[in-house]
Amino acid sequence: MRRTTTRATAVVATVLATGLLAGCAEELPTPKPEAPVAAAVVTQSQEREILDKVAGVVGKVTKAKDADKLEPRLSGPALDIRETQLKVAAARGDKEPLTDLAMEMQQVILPSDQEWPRSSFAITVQPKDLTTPVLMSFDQATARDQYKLWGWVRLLPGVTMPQFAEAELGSPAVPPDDKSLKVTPKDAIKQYASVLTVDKDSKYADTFADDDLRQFFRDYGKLQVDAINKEECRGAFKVEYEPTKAPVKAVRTADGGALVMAAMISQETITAKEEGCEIGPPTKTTQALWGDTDVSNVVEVNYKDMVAMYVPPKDSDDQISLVGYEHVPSSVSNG
Amino acid sequence: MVQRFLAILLILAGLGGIGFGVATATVLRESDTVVATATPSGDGTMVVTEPGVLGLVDDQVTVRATVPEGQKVTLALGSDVDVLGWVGDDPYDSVTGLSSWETLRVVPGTAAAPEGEAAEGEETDEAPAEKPSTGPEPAGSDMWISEVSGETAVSMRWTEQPGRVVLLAAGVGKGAEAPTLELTWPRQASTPYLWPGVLGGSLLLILGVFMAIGARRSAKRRSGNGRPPSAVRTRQPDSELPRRDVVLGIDGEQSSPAGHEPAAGFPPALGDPAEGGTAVYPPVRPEAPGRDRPDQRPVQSPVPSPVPSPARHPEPALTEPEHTRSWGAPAPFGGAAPITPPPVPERDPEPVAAPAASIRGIRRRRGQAPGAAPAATAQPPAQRTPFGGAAPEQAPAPAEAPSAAQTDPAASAASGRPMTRREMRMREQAQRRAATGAMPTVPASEPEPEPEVEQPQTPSSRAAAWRQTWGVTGNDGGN
Repeated sequence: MRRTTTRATAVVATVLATGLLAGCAEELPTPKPEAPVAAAVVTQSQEREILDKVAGVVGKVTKAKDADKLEPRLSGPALDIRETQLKVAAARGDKEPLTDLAMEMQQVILPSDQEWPRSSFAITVQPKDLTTPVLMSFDQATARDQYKLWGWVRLLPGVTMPQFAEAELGSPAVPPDDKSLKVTPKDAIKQYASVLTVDKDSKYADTFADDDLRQFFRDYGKLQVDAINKEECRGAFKVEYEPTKAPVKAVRTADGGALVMAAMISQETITAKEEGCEIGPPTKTTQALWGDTDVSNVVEVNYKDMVAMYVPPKDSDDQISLVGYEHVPSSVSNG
Repeated sequence: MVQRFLAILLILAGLGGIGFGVATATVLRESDTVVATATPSGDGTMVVTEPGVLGLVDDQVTVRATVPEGQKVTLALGSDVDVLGWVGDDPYDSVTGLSSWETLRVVPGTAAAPEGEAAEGEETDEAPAEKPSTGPEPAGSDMWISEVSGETAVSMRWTEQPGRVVLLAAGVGKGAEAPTLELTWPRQASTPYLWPGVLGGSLLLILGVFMAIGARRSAKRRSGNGRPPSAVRTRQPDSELPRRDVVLGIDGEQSSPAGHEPAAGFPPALGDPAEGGTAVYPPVRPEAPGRDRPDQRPVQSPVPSPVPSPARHPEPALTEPEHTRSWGAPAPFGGAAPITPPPVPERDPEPVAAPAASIRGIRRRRGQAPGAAPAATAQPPAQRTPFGGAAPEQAPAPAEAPSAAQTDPAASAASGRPMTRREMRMREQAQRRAATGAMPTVPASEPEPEPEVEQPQTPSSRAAAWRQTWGVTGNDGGN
């Protein structure tokens, strides 16, 4: 009997001990954050939402009087150029001057920099009107700002875009005075303005590959001059470009170069030097802007421009090449 | 008399123990959620969690923020960089973790500027004039993964995802103050007393029952023999010993299965609870028999061979790792494993093996459940070895499963026919031989079936395979 009791006691003790051991209190968990990884600060799904929001705003505003509604989602040169386009469209009475800003993208170039301002870029699929795709730039000035369309260019036909880092990783921004490039982004724009203005006579002409925009001015200028000369009025054509004060945006390409985007303004002057000759505005748009201004022997057309170019890295043998531009007439005068 | 009293005491204690164990797992069970509250400490209108805090207890978190009646509050989720960038130089509170199971640790945010000037809010831009108490509105920013705004109290659910996602809770508008934050996570409430209680209780119960039987017997004997009840008699060896033997016999029965089961990776719990009679462990039951009946294997292995579909051969390979893992897991939990809700056992093994395989494994297992045939065909020898024949269909060694998976489908799929009995026998023998050594040697002997690889699949070869499979012809020595 005693032995049974002892046994029972032992069993009870064992059970109790097991219970106590098993009942140890749970420890408080501590946060185990993932280590920060190098990744784009905007995810592709966020970018999609941003694009939808911007496109929604742009799509709704098709009249000049609504232009102030663009402000929540457009800024800088994009806002300026779009307002100009709306004004011109109102003057012409059609929508042809409005660049198709549908935001269906074939490629997005997302920012990897955690600081602000942040810039992303995106290339649209080919628009329905079979014009070339549009390269857009978006800008978030501060953390409490929204992403806004900052600028866009129409890509040159057949242009090859440089390679960028994977969208998931993001591409770092390039400061305007970055020295790792053949020419700093800021200087590249200045020099290109010179090249556009005097073409082959510019001392920077060799730095830049020939491109469609320069060819366009040659052809267009010749067309105008020929037209005036047909009347024996001694025509002359001149284009002057200069950068605006708006900052230059640049993003690193995979090869260490940069895609540079900047706003410019330009003025083309068509003159009939022969005494007594009078000329009027050359294009449908300028005619619409001209209104009932008196004709003289001079036509001055002011444009708002946006250019995007690829600037190769410093040690590259490549030339700086234009990838796209936007050239929007804003006003016309008789000199 | 004392013995009977003791027996009753033991039975009561046993029942009590079982009852207590079950109660801790049911009515006394800890709350299934952890609710922790952060009370903002200082000025500032915003509370930000540190990375990792949202997933502190569980991946699923419900966030609730409250501000004084009538004020507006916004919750936003974003990456830590975005959120802290948005907060900028404004003062804020940072939630860094739990200080107890009910409270969150709150410290003033690191980047807090001395003056709580609300920088220009993006949409509700009424900043500088209103002085510090105007809470900027984070709602609507492009950066948020998710956001919700409302008056007085808002809540949102979040399932933790990869990345450094943090929460921004902000009181918004004039006179705003930082919201009180409440994070709720589901928790796997542990039941540490369940099995000790049930097991210990069962043991006491059994002891008590036998003691009672013993007491009754000796009482009967005493009365039946007509001997006068005497204390001396009860202590006589011939009355005492049988009783002891009974007890020992039971003990022996209990301990012997318990001795086998751990070898099969099975919690020793199973032997006992059957007597406990509680309804707690049925989940384990359906699968348990397979492990305790080694005799199932010989029956299965010859039977399934007629299934000639080569496509099915890879399946067992996919299935095995899953079985192995899900069975391997309970061991660390000791007796408690069988009733622990499924997620717990699964969590452990997952990181070890490729998740993809396990997912497929789950799916496949369901599909081929009753037939389990190909599994048995392809694997029996490999499975038997590591586990001493305990668990034919579910117990391949983890190391073996993948290698078997590689060789087997390759051989059988290429030849397009199942193994013949002879081949299986030979393979079995070879593996049995190999298996006497260390486990990893088994795969080395596996490639044997490969000579078949060249066989083109023609109708005649298929027929031959069929004949060989069933041993219709005697010339299966060709392979």
